[in-house]
Amino acid sequence: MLRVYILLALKVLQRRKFYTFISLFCISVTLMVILLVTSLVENIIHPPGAERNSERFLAIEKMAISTSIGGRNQRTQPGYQFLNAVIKPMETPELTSIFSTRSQVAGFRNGKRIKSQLKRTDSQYWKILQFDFIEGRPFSEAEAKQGQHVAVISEDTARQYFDDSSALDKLLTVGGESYQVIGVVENVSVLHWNASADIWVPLFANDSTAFTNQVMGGFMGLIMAETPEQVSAMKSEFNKRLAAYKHPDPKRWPVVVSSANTKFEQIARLYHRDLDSPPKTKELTIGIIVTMILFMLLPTINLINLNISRILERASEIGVRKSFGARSSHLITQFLLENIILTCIGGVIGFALALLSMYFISVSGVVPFHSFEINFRVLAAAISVILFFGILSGGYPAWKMSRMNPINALKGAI
Amino acid sequence: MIRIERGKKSYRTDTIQTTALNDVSLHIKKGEFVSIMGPSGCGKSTLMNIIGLLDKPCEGQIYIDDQKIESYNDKSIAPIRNEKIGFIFQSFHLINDLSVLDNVELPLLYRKISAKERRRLALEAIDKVSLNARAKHFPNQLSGGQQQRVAIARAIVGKPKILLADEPTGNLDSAMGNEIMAILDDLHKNDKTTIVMVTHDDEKAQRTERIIRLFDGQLVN
Ligand SMILES: Nc1ncnc2c1ncn2[C@@H]1O[C@H](COP(=O)(O)OP(=O)(O)O)[C@@H](O)[C@H]1O
Ligand SMILES: [Mg+2]
Repeated sequence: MLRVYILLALKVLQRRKFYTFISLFCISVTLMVILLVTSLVENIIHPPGAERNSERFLAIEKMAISTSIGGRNQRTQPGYQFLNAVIKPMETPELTSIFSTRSQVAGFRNGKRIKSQLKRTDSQYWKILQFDFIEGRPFSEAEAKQGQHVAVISEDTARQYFDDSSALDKLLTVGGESYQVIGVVENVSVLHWNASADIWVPLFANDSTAFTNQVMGGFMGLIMAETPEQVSAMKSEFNKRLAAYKHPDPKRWPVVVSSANTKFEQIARLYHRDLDSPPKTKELTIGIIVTMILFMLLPTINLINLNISRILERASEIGVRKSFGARSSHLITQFLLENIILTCIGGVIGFALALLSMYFISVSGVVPFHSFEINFRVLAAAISVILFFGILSGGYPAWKMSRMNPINALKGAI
Repeated sequence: MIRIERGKKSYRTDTIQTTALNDVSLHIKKGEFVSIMGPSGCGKSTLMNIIGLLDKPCEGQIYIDDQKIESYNDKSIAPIRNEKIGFIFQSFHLINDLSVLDNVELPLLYRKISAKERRRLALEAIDKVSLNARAKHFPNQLSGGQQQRVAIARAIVGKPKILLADEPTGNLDSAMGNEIMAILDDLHKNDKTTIVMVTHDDEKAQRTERIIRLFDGQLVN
C-alpha cells in the first residue's frame, strides 16, 4: 500500500513541475541556512581543534572595579596581577594559564609589511589548549619562565614568512623583537578566540615586567578541571577567591567583579555585558531556538498556503476518491506522504547546498581559518527541520482535505 | 437492489430552506436499467447522491443490496461505496495528473488486492470500453467521449452491482453520447449490472427499462 502511495506521489510531483520546484526551493534554501547556522553555533559552543577540551575549562576574560556596589566603575580585561593572585593559588583546577589578549604586531618580508596577531602565554597554555603541531613543539616551562625568545607560529604565518620551506629554527622578527621559531601549528578559527592567534611567544620574553603589577588590562585566564563534572566546583572556588581578593588600592576600589565562564557563557556575555549578573545562557538558548523557529515559520506558512491552494485544484480528485471508497485516513496518508517525499528530496538538495556553501565560505576566508563540520548534533537539527516542514506544511492541509464533503469536493468547492 | 423509503432531503442556506427531495419512496430491482428524468433543479442529482451514499437523507431509510444503511460514518460507508457502487459523472472527473491506467485502477487502491491483480483488472475494464491503445495517455490527451469511457472503465473496474450515472452524456455530442449508451446497454445486458441514469434526453431514456420522473422533489406517475 505504501509503495502505491509513493509511486503515486512521484507521479504527481513529476506532473506538477512548477509546484514541485517552488516547494523544493523553499525547503532546500531554508534547510541550507539552518544547517549553516547550526554548524556555526555548534562549532562555537563545542569547538573542535585547539579548544576541544572546552567542556573542562573556564575562561576569565573580563573584570570590573568600582567605587561602590553599583557605583562608578571601570571595566576591561583582567590584568596579570589580578589573575596571578586569584587563579594561580586555586586547588580545584588541574591546570591554570595566564596569557595576553591578542595584539597586532608587524613584520617585514622583502619590504612588504605583514600584520599578525600575537599572544604572550605561559607554558600551561599549551596543555589546556590542544594545538595540532605540524612541526616542532610548544615552549617549555623553563623557556617561558626565562623569557626565551622563542615562538610558535601558525601554518598561515609560516607560509607568509618562509613560503613552503620549514619554518623550524628560523628567525622571525616582529614588533621589533626577534624570536626563534620552535613550532608550527594548524590555523585556528578566529571564532575560537581563547586559542586563536598567529604568533605565540613566552609571557616573559619582554624587557619590561611592569605588567606583573597591573590589576587590569591585557590578559586572560583559563582554568581547566580534570573532568567536566568538576567544572562547577572550580567555578565556586573561583568565586570564593574572587570575593577574598583585595585591590591594591582598596579604599578607592572596594568592589572587584569578574567571572569564570564556560564556552557558552562566554558567548552569552558577548551581547549581555553586565558582569554583576550571571550570564544569560537561558535567554541565549531561547533566543537561538525562537529565531530558528521564526525563520522556519515563514517558508512553512508559505508551503501550507501553497498546499491549501492546491486543495482547490485537487478538490475533484478528493471527491472522486471518496466516491470510490477512499476513507479519510487513506487521503491523509496519501497527501502527507506526498509532502514528506517532497520535503525529503528538498532536504537532500538543501544538504548538498549547505555542504557546497560551507566549502565556498571556507575557501573565501570570510571567517578567517574557519572550517565547517557537520556532526551528529547538526544532523539532528537538520532532520528535525525536515520533520517540522513535512508534518506542519503537509499535515494541516491533508487533514483539511480529508474532511471535505465528497459532493462539494466534486463541485470544486471546499 | 436499491430501496428508498420516504426519503427526504432539504438544504439550508443563510436565508432560505430548499426541499430538494420530498417524501420519495422508490424500489429499483436487481439488474434493472432505470432512467431518471425531470426539469433542472427538481432533485435528480440529490436523489443520485443519496442512492450513492454520498449524501445523507434528512429523513427516511435506504437499503442497498438488501442492507439497511444505519450509519454514515467513514468506516462503515466507504467499503459499501467501494464495492457495491460505481459512479459516472457528467463532467468525467478524471484525475489529470494520472494516466488512464492509473485513473482506472483508482477504486482498487482501496481494496486488498495485489498490484498485479489491480493492473489486470484495470486493463480488462479498459478493454471493455475499447481504449486499450490509450492506457498510457493522460486525460487531457483524450476527446470528451474517450474521457467518459475512461470514467466508465473506472466505474466498472471493481465489478460493482450498481452503476450510477448522472447525465453521463450531458457534455457530449450525440455520436459520442450514443457510444456511451451502447456501453451502458452492454453492461446491463451482459453483466446484469443495475444501472440508474439521469438524462434530459427522451430518446436515451426510452432505451432504458423504466423512466422515473421527478418534479419539484417528488415522484410523478
Ligand atoms: N448543496 C446545496 N445547497 C443548497 N441547495 C442545494 C444544494 N444542492 C442542491 N440544492 C438545491 O436542491 C435542488 C435540487 O438540486 P439538484 O438535485 O442538483 O437538481 P437537479 O440535479 O435535478 O438539477 C435545487 O433547487 C438546488 O438548488
Ligand atoms: Mg443535476
